[in-house]
Amino acid sequence: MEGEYTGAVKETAGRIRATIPANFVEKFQKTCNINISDFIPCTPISCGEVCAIDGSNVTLLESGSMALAVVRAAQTTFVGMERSRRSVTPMTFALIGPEEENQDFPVLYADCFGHPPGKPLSNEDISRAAGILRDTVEYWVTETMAHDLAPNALLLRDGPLRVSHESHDPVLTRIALTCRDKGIGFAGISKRSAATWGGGHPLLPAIYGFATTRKIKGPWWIKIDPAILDHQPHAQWQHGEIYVACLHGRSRGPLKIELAKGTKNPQEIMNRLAGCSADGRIPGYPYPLLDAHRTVALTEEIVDQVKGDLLGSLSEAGIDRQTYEILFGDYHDEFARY
Amino acid sequence: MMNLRDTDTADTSKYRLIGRSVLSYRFIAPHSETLYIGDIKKIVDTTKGATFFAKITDLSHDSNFADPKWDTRSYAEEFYGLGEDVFITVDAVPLGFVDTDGKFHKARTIPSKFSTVEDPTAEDFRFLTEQMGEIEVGLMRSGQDVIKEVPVRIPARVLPQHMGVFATTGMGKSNFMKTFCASCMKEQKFGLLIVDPHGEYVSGGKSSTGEPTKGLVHYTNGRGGLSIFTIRGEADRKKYAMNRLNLEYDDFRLSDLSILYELTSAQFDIIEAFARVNGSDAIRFFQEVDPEIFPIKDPLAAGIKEGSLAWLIRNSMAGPVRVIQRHIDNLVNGNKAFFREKGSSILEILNDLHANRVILIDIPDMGERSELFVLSVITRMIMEKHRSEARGFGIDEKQESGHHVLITIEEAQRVLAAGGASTQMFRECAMEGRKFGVGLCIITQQPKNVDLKVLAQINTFVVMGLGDRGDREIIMGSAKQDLSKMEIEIQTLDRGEAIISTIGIPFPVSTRIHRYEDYIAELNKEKKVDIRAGLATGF
Repeated sequence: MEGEYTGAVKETAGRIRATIPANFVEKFQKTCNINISDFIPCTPISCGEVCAIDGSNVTLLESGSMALAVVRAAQTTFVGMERSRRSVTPMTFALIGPEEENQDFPVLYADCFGHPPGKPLSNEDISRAAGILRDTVEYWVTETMAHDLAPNALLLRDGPLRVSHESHDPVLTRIALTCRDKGIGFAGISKRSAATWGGGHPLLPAIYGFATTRKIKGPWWIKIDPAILDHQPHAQWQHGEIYVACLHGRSRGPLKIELAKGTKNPQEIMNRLAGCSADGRIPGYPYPLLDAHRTVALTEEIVDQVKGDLLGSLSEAGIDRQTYEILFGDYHDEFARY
Repeated sequence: MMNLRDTDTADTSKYRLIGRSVLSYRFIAPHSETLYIGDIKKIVDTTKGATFFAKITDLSHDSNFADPKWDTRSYAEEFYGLGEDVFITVDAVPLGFVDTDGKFHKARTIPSKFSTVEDPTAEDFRFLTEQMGEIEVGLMRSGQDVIKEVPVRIPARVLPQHMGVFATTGMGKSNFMKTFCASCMKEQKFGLLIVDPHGEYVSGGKSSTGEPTKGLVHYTNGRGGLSIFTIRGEADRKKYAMNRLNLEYDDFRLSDLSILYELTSAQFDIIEAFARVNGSDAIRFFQEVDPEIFPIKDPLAAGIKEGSLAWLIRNSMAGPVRVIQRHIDNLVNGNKAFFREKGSSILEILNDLHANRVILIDIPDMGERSELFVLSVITRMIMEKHRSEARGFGIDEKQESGHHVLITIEEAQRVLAAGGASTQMFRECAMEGRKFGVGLCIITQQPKNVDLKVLAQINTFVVMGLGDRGDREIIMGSAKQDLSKMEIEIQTLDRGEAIISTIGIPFPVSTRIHRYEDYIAELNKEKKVDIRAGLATGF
């Protein structure tokens, strides 16, 4: 039994190791033809006006047939690293199920964009559905801010410039166009990336490993040729060009940064991003995005408060505690007590 | 229609009461704020209509971050928006509260949550000014600042219930005492006795830091409240209108030796046998007697009459008698400057004390033993006088009707250490003196070496800088008001600063002691009251 378990652990570790083999960096260089000269140094400069957007979703209640999600999005705008404005959307509730198609999605979408979505949202995957509901308000905030920001601002999104649902594609297209027209730099910044090369080797560790072994000091950035990447599904929903950047000398790791297609001044944007990524708590990560995250996060306290309010309303609506427990009770809560 | 709501960016988290109990308050302040231990803050509770007062006792860095080690993990020098989540946590000890009628109460309730914390104004301390006493020693301090409008005055009525002045060298003890004397001279509410073996109180000298200082005679407007008894020459006495100090042999009791010398039990037996013998008789006896006749196995055969002084100690061995004889010899010869067969200033000293004057016994260059000798003689005489006075009054009127005297003992651990039976007289004074209107002003830099039972009798504590933790703990444990939360403040007291805790003032007050020279300069500017005021000027 013990041996079986140990074997399973070793096998898993071996499979992960296979994606990052011992000659990982050399293999990356040979396969992708990467050179030191591809790494371009950043010179941190004043970041000017920077707006960061983030969204948050939590599944409040979950029964066998349905789930209740709450979503919201927030923006936080800095001028010269002084916060000038911070705003948040109301918490929006959405039932996922029991129908096959989400009933709240069209309502939320219309509420945000004034017309119904081009494609319905399936309730099959609760987690994905909740994420797309969150993206809906997040894209609405992004579009709103793209209109509000002054020309030459930076608009940052936590995540890629690639939609996960077809109905968001025209929205992201509009945002990119608005940014382009106003000269706003539009970037999607990801701490993690699904991008791989050479048949499954992760991109970010390879770039960072190369920079480390060649003693390339941060901050730097590198543009990624899409040709070196493995095939990505729904490439048509991709609105950005991929870069990898290390925005501070003491950064814990690189970020995947997507700039809107056709961005003409990546160097300036990288310099500005480096200029707002020097915070001692998370060097190398744009501070406005951290601030947006902290603004929007549905913390445990908030969730407890909302759950309490909901329980009260359910009671008023005639659902007693026992019925509630049968519907949404989680035996894991009970298990956790022992 | 979806909407974006701007969140309030005003920071309402700072300077709001967030904790914690009746005996301990907590609030937060911006991380860059300059706050000091000892700062007094007012907490305005609009719900209860009361204003609470609290003193800062501790400051610590804190943050809202979940990771308690965020600051030790920082990877770069720059921080954005730090003030929102990083702050100073301020712990404060409640002092009390003023109700809607302006009446001060002890902190038996708690301010409402999120009451605002503000800086008090002088007007806020009006209640305190009204409760202060008469003997001014300094100005109230709030952290680093002095509140000029709030002079700290110790109530005269509590001083005969003993006062302790605790400070290490160089913390301004002498300056405090002179300032205290000046106020006593001004107010003349009780008699104050000081024995000065260094000759610095009369006309000043140099402080422990080497600065020139002034003496009590320089407070010219208060001269009427001062009597000086000195051993200095006539020229000096005339210059400063000082009296000559004389003690006569009959002022002395053999028991005074026990304060001055370490005695064996055999020597003690002799002291006890001479308990009722006049000083002059005892001195004459020991000057004339041959110690070698002791022990006297057959008094009759030796010609020793029953009841004679030799008969009282007939069983003593020659050795102890020889030692006592030598001590008396040293005492008489060593204190010739003021100790003689006939002629005593004691009556005059007692009269002046009872006229509520400051009595300065100035014995420069006389040494520690002479100082203790004078002190023990005068203290004993005061106690005897007050005891006999008290016997003349009824039980209830004893305290009110009698005179009030405060006796200063410098380096009090010498005579008030634990277990010192030899210093019984000072101990009695500490334990029972208050019944007879006799208080001790105990000055020491080693409170831990003073008998705890004595410290427990003290009602007024003047705590200046004490570096030793043991000393601070003893003081905090003995004071009538809770000083335990003020340990950091006591530890960080600067020269000339004190915490005064007395039963007359509602809470321990941080005080900047007046610089004596500046204080008397102000007092000397005050218009002197004409002694003819109120008298008829014509026929």
